[in-house]
Amino acid sequence: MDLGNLRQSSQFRLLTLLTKIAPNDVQKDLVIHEDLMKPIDLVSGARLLREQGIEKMFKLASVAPPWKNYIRLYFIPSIYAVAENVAQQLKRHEVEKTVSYHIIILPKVLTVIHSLFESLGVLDFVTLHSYSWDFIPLDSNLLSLELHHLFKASFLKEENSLLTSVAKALMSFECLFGKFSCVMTLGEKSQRVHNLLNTWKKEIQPTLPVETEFTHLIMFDRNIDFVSLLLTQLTYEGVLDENLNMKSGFVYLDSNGAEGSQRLMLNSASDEIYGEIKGKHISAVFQHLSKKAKELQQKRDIKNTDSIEEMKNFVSHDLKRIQSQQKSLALHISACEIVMKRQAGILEELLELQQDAMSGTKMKEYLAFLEDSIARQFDLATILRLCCLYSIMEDGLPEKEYHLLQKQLLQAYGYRHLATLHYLQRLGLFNQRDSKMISLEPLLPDRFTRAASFRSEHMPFRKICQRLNLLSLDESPQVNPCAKSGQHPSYVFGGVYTPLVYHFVERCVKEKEPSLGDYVRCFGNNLRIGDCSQPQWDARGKILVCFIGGVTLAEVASLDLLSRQLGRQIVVATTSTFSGPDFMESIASQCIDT
Amino acid sequence: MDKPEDEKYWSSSATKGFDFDSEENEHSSDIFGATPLQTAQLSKEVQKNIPRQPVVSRGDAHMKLSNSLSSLSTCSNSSYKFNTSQPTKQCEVTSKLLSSTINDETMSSPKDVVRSIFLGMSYDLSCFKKLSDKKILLDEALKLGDGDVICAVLLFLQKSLHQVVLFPLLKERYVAAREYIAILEKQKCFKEAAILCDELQQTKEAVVHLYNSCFREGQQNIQPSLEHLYKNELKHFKQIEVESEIIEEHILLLERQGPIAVTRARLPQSEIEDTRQSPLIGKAVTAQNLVGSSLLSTLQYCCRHNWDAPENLLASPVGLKKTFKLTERQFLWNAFIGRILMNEDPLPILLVKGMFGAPKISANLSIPRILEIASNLNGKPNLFDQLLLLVEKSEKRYQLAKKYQRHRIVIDVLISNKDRISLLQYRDSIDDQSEIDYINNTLRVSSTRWKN
Repeated sequence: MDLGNLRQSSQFRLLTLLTKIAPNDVQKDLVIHEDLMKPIDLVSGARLLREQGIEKMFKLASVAPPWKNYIRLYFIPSIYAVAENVAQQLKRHEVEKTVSYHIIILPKVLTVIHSLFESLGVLDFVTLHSYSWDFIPLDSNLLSLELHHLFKASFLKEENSLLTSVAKALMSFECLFGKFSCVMTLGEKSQRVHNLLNTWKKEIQPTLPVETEFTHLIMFDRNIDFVSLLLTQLTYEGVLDENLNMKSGFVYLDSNGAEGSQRLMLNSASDEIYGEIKGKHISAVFQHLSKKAKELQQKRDIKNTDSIEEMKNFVSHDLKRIQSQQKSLALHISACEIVMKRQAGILEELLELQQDAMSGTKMKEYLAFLEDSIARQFDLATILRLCCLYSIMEDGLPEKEYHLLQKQLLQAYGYRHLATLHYLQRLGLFNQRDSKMISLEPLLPDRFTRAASFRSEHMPFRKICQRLNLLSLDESPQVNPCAKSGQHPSYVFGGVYTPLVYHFVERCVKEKEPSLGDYVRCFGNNLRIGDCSQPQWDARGKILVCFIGGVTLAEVASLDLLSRQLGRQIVVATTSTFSGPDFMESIASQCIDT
Repeated sequence: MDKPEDEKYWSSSATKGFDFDSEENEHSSDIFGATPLQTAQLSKEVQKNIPRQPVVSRGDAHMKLSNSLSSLSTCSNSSYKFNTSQPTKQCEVTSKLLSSTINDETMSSPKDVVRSIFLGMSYDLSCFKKLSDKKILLDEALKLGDGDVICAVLLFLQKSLHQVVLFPLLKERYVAAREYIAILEKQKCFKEAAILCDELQQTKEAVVHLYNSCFREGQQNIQPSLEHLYKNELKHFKQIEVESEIIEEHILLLERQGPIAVTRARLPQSEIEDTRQSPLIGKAVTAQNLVGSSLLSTLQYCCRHNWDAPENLLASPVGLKKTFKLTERQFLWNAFIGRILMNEDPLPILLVKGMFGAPKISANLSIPRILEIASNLNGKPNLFDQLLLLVEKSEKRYQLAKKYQRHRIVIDVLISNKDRISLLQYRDSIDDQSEIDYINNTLRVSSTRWKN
């Protein structure tokens, strides 16, 4: 499979659009939104843009840049507030008639945005264009649409406008790699995307390749499994993402990613060492790095004593490779250092707490820790993750505890987080327990509760975990050899939890037919097993696992393990990658723009 | 991506959309010398007199194209009759205009229009005049499931329907209601969003919309907006006791923050930025960013700068504690951090008398945690010694003393354990001469019975 095709396809569409706006020999200026800079770099690169006549490039700011040319492009995501900022900028520049403005909106010009430009009366000199790229390969097994606002739009605000673009990207994927013969969806949004995909295909009727490379498409809503987002990721890549905030496959080794700071590209295709360590449990990484350092040093030392002829050969061939490996080794070691420094003394305690939350033990101590840390205004994202983990595993907090935590959180971090807590509640992350439901449940026979859960489509998450056997059986994962070895998928969370998606994908492709009885019981209507005319369940092609709303790297690592276990390639396609801290910060930010 | 296919499809379709800029219209204005505005006015006047033909009936949402074509012919006929009865030149214009308007109206079946929005073609919703038509249109959009199509229809409904009519319609269609709330938020119509949320029985969310809107107009206006919200708007909602209490507290805090920040700003000496930080605590606020900070940040600030303020003053830490009913733990941590940042001795705050008069740490704060924060914030050595003595278990005390290099305490633990070998090892590991002498002196005492 050549994922480079995806890149070419995105590139082709971008270049076609740019040529449509103005021929290559006409010089243009481009203002680009910060979030799109790295992805566009991955799609086309600056050189290609320059060949298209883009002379000057600016980062989008609140005021217009010092323009040079008469054709001026903006490249922005379909976020209303961003579009509004651009529209206001243009409104102020209305007088210049000779200038033409083109606004390229990713992934599409939404109707609300179009009507905004219309209402400000700027459409006389502004043209709006939709552009959507295909899934961008971030690594050999990871594709992303880099639509970071999709989660908030679709799950928090329940706007479904962006889902069409996901469906389009999947259709485009099918155009390149063939039709999916089996489709399974878990979650309402996934189902919606699948329906839209079918609608698109019916309308467009694209010609698909005869041979199918990917036989299975498994779609998964982010809100089905929040626990994977709340637990601390313990794979190397996951740890880097949580601490250094990976963006489009890059992390900056200085805290705020200032210019000139060292940047590390996380792609196993271009960095051999990263490929070796990315999925490893963090406790094994440093060992591996020091072994690697010794190996590299040895390679150099041995060569030092060789004959001149061999030396020459060595310098012209191996040395470069060794040097680049050493360079990347140094970067990985300093990344480890930064993380260790940041987590010193805190991580162990957090892991213990998470383990308690998963096993449902020592809840009094757990609450005491929260109360104490909140009183000191300990890192908000960490606290919220712990609060939500508790709420999910206990199916909501008892009324008294809920109000106590709510009050103390607001007093410590600011009353404006009333909105934050409300959003978390809407997402089902931080809830007050419904006292009536709980009291009735044990009295009802199983089939009644099942009927009830079908109706409300709600089953407590702990029950789901138990039914699907996602929690560790061993009470103390420290002594559990699986916890760190990487043999069992739960290693990505230190042995306390197996990512639900691992289990789901495993069941979907296990035997001749998917064995999903447990899932029907747990998720009811949210589970849909593909409506293909002749599903070929036994097809053994590649598997595309598509996350609607984002994926954590720990989940990717667990699917990587599954891929090795099954001997079949699994590629993860997601609307964006994200991590717990990233997620909490975006929910807690003052403006939630979509 | 598949734009060419889109267009190809559309141009081949029988349901080609009506285009106001088409040749036909321009042609007519050429012939009769009328401007588009005049014709539009005329059209409007004439339309008033014509009984409108229904586009689609309520029961038949998916009217076939053939149906709409047949209705088209009846409409044309009727307009034709209307024209023939008054055969003036002016009426010929009317006839022309009318037929085109009616054509447009009847050509559009909701399903086709929705489809053309979905495919990104030009569309016109203005022909959906009747409420029942609008409902069918919205339902078609919902059936298709594309959020942007739903938005397009909702924006049209927003313009063409009164809120009183629109909201009940949305109340029955949850997905559309959510999309509409998101639109209202973008348009900064928080009040409308709140009303709709209330209709959907989501009063808490309604309050959040109104509360959020108070932050939109800059720091200065937050307090008056919140007061307005608290006094006037909250009373329309039910079951929001918790939220209204929180908003009341927020106002109360803002009332205090302003004056506290001002008094401080008047003082001549400027504040030196304190860079001491601990990963276990939040960042301290300064006079500049005090207003708008959280209650506990304000408390900590007051513990730094207004420690001795009498209770009746706004800046009094104890006053804050009482007014906001803070827990002992909340107060102690911030008092401790505040005092230590001012290089004062924080210990008296932390200590209470235990059962037999012996001092102990108040509110069960963890000593290791206190020590770690004190160490991050460069607390005085004396503080460590005093705190370590409060650690009951000698093993724990030994570990902590070693961690923070309080030699005397380490040595004392080893002495009390009668552990001569460890003592000797420890002596070799330190440089402090006075402590080395202390160890030597102890070892010289012959009466000690060492265990090793």
